[in-house]
Amino acid sequence: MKSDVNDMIVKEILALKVDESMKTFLLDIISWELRNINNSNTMRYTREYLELATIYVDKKKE
Amino acid sequence: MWISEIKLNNFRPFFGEASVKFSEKSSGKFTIIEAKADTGKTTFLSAISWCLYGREVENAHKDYLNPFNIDKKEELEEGDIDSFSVEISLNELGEKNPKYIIKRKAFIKKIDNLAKYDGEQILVMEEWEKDNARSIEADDISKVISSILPEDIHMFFLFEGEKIERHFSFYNKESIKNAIEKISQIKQIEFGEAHLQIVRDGVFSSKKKNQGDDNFEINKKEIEEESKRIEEMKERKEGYEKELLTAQSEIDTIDKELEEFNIPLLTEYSNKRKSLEKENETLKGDLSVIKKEVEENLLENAPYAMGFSALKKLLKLIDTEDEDKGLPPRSVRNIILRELLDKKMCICGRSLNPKEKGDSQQAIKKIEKILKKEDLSDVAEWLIEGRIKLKDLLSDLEKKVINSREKKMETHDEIIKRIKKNETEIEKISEKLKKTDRTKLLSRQDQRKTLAVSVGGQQGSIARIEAGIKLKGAEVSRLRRENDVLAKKKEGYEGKKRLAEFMDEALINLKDIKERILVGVRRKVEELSYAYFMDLHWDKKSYTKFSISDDYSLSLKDKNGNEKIANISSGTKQVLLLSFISALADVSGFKFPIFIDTPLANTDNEQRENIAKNLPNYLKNNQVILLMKDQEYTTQFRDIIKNSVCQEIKFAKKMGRTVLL
Repeated sequence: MKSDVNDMIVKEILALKVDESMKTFLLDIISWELRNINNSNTMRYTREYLELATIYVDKKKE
Repeated sequence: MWISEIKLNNFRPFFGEASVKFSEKSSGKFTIIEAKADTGKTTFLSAISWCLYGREVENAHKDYLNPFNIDKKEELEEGDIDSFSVEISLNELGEKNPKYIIKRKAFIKKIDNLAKYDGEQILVMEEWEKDNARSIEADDISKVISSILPEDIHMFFLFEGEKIERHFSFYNKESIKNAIEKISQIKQIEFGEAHLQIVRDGVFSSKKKNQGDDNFEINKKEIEEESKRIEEMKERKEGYEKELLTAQSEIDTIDKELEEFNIPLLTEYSNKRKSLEKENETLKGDLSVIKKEVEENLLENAPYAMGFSALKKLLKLIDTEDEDKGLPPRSVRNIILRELLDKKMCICGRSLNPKEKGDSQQAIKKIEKILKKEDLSDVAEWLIEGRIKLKDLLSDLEKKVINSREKKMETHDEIIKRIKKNETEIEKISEKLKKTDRTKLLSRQDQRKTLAVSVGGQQGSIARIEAGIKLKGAEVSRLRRENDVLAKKKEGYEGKKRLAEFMDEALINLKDIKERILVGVRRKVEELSYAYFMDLHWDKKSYTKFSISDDYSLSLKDKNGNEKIANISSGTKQVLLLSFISALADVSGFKFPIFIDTPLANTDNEQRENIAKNLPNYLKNNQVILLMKDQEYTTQFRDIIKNSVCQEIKFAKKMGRTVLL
């Protein structure tokens, strides 16, 4: 999905004064939600979110 | 994207197959679909909405029947199966061949003379790459359609000019807020937030049991349950908010209808009818008095009146018999003749002397013969007197009966004329009042009262739920804090703590982004609405600022800084609404064609001309399809925008079916 509002979301995330791993994590979350519109499958997002967060926390530690 | 073709089959007034092909040059130009009322303009919008989402445009059709063509249904035998469908070809900008072809088809079966759905609808979608087509998997079609135009914002691309004011009442901040939120697509951020929160709550769960794990798990379970309840409450709140919006929009609709009823004018009509009815009562009274007088007069003079004609004729005969013969009246004649005999000389100079012989004797004999034969001297006096009496009687009778009756009858006729005139007027007024449907008026007023009560109830429920959500939210926060303490005692605490902190920070950032997006979108809509308004409006110097405040109320300022939003003309209001909707479509970023049904609703001729002059500046980069009533698309309007129109399509009704001309 391509829309000006999506661009706006991306811009807002990139403009945050946080480290890169946080920005990437947020971008991943948004794109996961975009790919899975209205998906409420707990198993899927729990696993994927946890995996993503673990990766980015580790990156942050490095 | 632009739509190159729409095929309709047995869809509402379209009997059999109809194909509307749009010009390749339609991007950046206007396509006009001209049609009389009730020929399928709104159906066209419904067909697009139905094809994409399986739902027709909201409130477009009051019959609530499925869209299968009625004539086609009549041709079917009981138990026969048939289908209706809509197919849309969508092209990338500048491309002649379609990128996507979407077709939705539904089957019906004729049961009890009704076309009832038979089985599931079929939705197929093809994606074309040069000459190769690929069928999109059924599960993915709605996702692809959503990526072209999400359902919850389609109303900003397929909209009805006649209804936009009702949808976006200037005084209904909720509907403005709702529209901004929809195009902000913050739902995806909200989902992300909710999902991340659940994951965050589970960070300290572990399979190994430690001291305090039981409490931790109990708390965690409670957090989950409370969060679920909060979600349910939010859903309930959303439900109430939707109901509230619907009720408020219904109230707006009723207010508009009541405004159209024009109650002071109705009172004036009603009073006029009353006064005319009263006047007729008086006139009818006068009429019966006159009738009675004429009757009495007739009765009194009946014998004379009955003989009036005969007597009049007799008198005439008497008066005219001798005159007709060129003779003096008989009595006069006899007196003259006697006098001639006495004087012994005729008026011609002949001698009437009895002593003379010859001519004289002959003439005397002749006169005596006349006198002998016609001597009426003994009755002459009586006759003359009688004739005078007869004359008087007849003249009296004429005055008393005939003339007076005629005069009275003249008045009588005049009164009848007035009564009839009043009755026609009363009938006209009654017709007008009938058209306003007093019963409907009263029932709509009652409905409004009920709705106003229900709005109050819904607002109360929303407030109660909000308070409940706050309380439960506080409890969840307390449990989370408690679990954070318990988590410290768990194995691998440090690693999990870092993970939890990372997620907490992400949650704060998401919330922050959501707020900023909403503010950003609001500002962009504000900016673009004003730009479109300036493109479309004829009086560019009068207004200097359009804004949407933090609480989503609209404002339009004049050059002196005065607030004008509540006092603008219907034409300016329509232009502002068109600008607002177009800004919403624009800000959403979806490049879908814009269909406007009856764009110039609520405007007068002068305003239409003014809009026409500025229309070429409007929505320059989109494929814009204007569905116009014939009285909207006037010769003047056509002349003004002809250079911006790439195609004219006409819908007409033939034998009750919509055909393309």
